[in-house]
Amino acid sequence: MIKNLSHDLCLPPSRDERTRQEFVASLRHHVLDDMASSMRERYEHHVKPAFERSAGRAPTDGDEVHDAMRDDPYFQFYSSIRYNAQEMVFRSVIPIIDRDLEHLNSLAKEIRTAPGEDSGQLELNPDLDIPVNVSNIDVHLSPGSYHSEYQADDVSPGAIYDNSINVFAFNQMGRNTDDIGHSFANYVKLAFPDFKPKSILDAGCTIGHNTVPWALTMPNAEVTGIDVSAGLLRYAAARARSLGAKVNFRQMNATALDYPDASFDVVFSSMFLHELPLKDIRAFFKEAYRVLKPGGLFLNMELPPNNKMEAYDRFYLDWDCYYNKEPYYKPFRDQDYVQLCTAAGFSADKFIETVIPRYTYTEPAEFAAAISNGAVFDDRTGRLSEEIRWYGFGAWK
Amino acid sequence: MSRIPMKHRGKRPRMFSTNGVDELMSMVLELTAELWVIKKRLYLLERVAGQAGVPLTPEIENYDLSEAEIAELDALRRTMIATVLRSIESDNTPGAKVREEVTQTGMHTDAVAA
Repeated sequence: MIKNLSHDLCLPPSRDERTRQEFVASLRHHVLDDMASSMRERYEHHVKPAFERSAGRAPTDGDEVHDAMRDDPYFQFYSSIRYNAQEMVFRSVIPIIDRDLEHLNSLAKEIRTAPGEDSGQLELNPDLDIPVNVSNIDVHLSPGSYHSEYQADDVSPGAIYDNSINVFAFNQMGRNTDDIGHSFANYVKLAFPDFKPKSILDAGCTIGHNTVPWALTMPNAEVTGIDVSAGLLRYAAARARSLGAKVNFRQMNATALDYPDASFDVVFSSMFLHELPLKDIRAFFKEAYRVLKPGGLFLNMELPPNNKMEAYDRFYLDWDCYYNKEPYYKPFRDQDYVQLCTAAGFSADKFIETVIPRYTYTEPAEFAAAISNGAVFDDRTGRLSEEIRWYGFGAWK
Repeated sequence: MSRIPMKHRGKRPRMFSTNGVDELMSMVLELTAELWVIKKRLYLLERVAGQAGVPLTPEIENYDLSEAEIAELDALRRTMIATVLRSIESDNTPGAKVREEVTQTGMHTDAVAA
């Protein structure tokens, strides 16, 4: 069962629309859990031995595994079903939003502008150029990408994102698809009890689903989310307020932060870097270093680096790059994440990384025990399933 | 006509070497989605009716469809077909064109369910 989003911007679907969404979520669950396990078996028992017979060795990287898998019928069906399911995610939510767009846009504005002390600021910049990595492609097959608008004060990019990940996640990413935010805010709180951030920046925050948990976990901190898309941020501001979180949202490119040096205790991002060209990742890391206070923490929740994964797991996670219109995904994952940090000014000995269970799915004691285990990589790391473990990395300044 | 596009930009990748299999996969999956929606609807319908004391099954068997109902079902069926076959069509909004045609030609007055 898919639950309605628990905030005021929720657009309840009709019974048939919800049934269709449930079908798509179940299809994704099937392909990403059941079929993924069978595909791994096929690789181990058929594809890999055949490769070894002809090459005299096992595949050493994801590209070799991909080449070996291409002609395998099971892989072809897996890819076809997964690709179609991705399209069907968007097709299962867009008509609902389209139908109610006027209502949704005026409701979001009403929530944003209602009087009260509990609201963060929303600051848009109509002169900001939308970067080509957002404007030139429909990222992960999302029609209109992250930024397209169809009306004045449009929040449809936010509504599409919020509703689509609610289907996409098949209940594995938290009640409001916000588990990543809860997991990393609580990771910082528990792993570094003497570190009390007062200012937190979330870069590439989209609808602020992983920004809000920082404000709820660290109520004394001023929390700000930035993104290049106005349509996402209008939605994010209304969503945060509806959930009782005080978060500022500003339209800004993470590669050129409009903040003075040493402005933040934490610079965070989640599922953001893999959407950026490498030059933008490098520029963002330099900016993060610049705006962090000495002793501040740079932390990115991301997909794990290929150099920590076995060949098959590299291939498996890079499927999105090959087939899901995520062209920057593999180039990012092929990087040495330590080197990315040191090139931006961070010291190698201040580098941190972690693999953690999902906070909102885990008993507190188990979560606390898990964060002290350090970064243990396996086939659950970053792979969306019932067993997923989140990966994060960054550095102290 | 939806304002927000339903279709992403760019070409769809080919997973299969035989022409048409990729499109057939889309058809099969869309069809299965539609089938599931209907199946759940019927499941609910039977239970709701049963709770309300309505013996649905014999009533359905003996029901006479009106001309307007036939036309409505005709349009719904064509929308469903357009959705199932969407992967070989360029139209962004499955069924939109079909619905328009039905209205313009007045097919609803003389259409008889095939």
